[in-house]
Amino acid sequence: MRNKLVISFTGVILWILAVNFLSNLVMDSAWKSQALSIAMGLLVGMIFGIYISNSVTKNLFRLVEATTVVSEGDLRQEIDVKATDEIGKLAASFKAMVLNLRQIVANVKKGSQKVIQSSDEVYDSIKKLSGISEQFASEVEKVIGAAQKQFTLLSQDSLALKSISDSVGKIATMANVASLSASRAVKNSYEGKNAAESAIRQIQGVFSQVEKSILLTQGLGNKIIKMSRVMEIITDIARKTDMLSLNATVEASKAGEYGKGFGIVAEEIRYLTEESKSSAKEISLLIEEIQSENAAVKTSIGEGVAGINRGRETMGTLIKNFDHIVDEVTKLGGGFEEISIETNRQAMDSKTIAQAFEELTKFAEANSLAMQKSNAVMGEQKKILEQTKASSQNLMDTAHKLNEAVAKFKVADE
Amino acid sequence: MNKILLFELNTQSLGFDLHYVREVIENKNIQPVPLAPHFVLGIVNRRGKVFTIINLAALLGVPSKDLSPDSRIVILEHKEMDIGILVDIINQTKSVSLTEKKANETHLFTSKEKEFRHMVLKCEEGIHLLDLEKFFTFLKEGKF
Repeated sequence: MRNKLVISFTGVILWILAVNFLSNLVMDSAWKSQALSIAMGLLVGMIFGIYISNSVTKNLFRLVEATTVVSEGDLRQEIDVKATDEIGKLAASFKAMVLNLRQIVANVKKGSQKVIQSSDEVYDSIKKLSGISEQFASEVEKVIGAAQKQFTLLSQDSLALKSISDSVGKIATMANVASLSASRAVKNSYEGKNAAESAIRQIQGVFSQVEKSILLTQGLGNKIIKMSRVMEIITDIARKTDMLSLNATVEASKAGEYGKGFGIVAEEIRYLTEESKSSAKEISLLIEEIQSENAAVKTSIGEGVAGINRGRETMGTLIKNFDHIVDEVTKLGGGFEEISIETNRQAMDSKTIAQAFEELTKFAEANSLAMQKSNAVMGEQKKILEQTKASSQNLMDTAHKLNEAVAKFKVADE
Repeated sequence: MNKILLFELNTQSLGFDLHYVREVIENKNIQPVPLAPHFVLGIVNRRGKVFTIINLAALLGVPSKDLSPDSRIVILEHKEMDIGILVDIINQTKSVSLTEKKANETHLFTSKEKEFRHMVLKCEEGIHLLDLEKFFTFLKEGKF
């Protein structure tokens, strides 16, 4: 440029000199030549100046144009300045800069695209995660509800089980008592059977005694009949004696004085007969009473024998019944023992179950508490997630902004 | 003093003079006699001798009592006429002093025969003694 300027300035000066000379030759007047040479010098200087300034400004304009385009972000600009002067150098360095810039911007663009992509992905992931975590939170809520319900149910169940265990325990005690009672009943029924058997033996003794007394009563009846016959004879004799004594008295009275003593004797005999008659009458009455009583005794003994026979039969059935009772009660006792054993086992089992349920309830409670804690943690996590989401959104926004910013740069035909 | 035999006719205590009494026999084997008077019970054979038995209660108008083992027949004898009298119970023999015919005032019986209404001789100690003379006269006269 400087060289150009020096050369062109030198050429201009030479031209002026040349013109001046020529004009001096040609022209008659010095003034006229002077004016011509100045005019000519001015013309050449103008042409030359225009040429010089043109050559300089042309490249400069191009450069300005390129920088304007670059400044608008278009880095596709190929700067074609073939000058070797300072403008050329400037253009070359500008070109290198644009090239470098192009490369950097391309890289940035690529990166920002990647960032957008990644941040989009991150945002999506976080969104998904947020959704999942919300779902999870609701699930956890449900689980907490279920755990609480489970806890309440378990506490109720535990109480119910405890009461069942208590009832089973009571049943076991009762079954024990029943078993003892049954064994006592077996013993008692054995005793009853023995008592009934001894009663039958005693009744059989009584029966033989009654048979003996029946025979005795029959003998007594026969003797009483004989006695009453004898008494009839005695009564007859007494009557006859009475009459005899009466007649003797009559005879004695007829005998007059001589019959007086005999009359007294006959009278005495008559008194005695009267007495014996009344005694015989009493005896007869007694015999009659005895006979009627004997008959009553006989009928009652007959009834007693019938009763004893019935009693014997009843005792037989009683013993059979006692045998049945013993069998049944023994079976019953066995059953009760089994029941007792089973219920005892059951009581133990139900106690164990009740304890297990109690522990389970405790676990459920702990579980519920843990669930609640985890829910709280979930809440915190949610907050963090929200924050993360916000951050990722910010990141995404920033990435998009970056992308927009980078998009202003055009590095290649896209 | 007279000896008498005391007896009962349906709770009415009466007496015979023992002088007329031959013996006392049991009330047995009386054979009924057809068409006999209403006070004749029948006849009895006693040691080959036959006696007419008189129901004194019917004759005197005293209600008859059922026969009992204590019933006796008193055989009376009076001048070859022996008759048997049925009495309920013989009580005893007793010695009493007679107060003759003074008992005529009494009206013990309600007999159809007027004679028998005054047949009682009242004795001492309140004993009613039958007037057997009158009785036998009545029988001998046969006014029945």
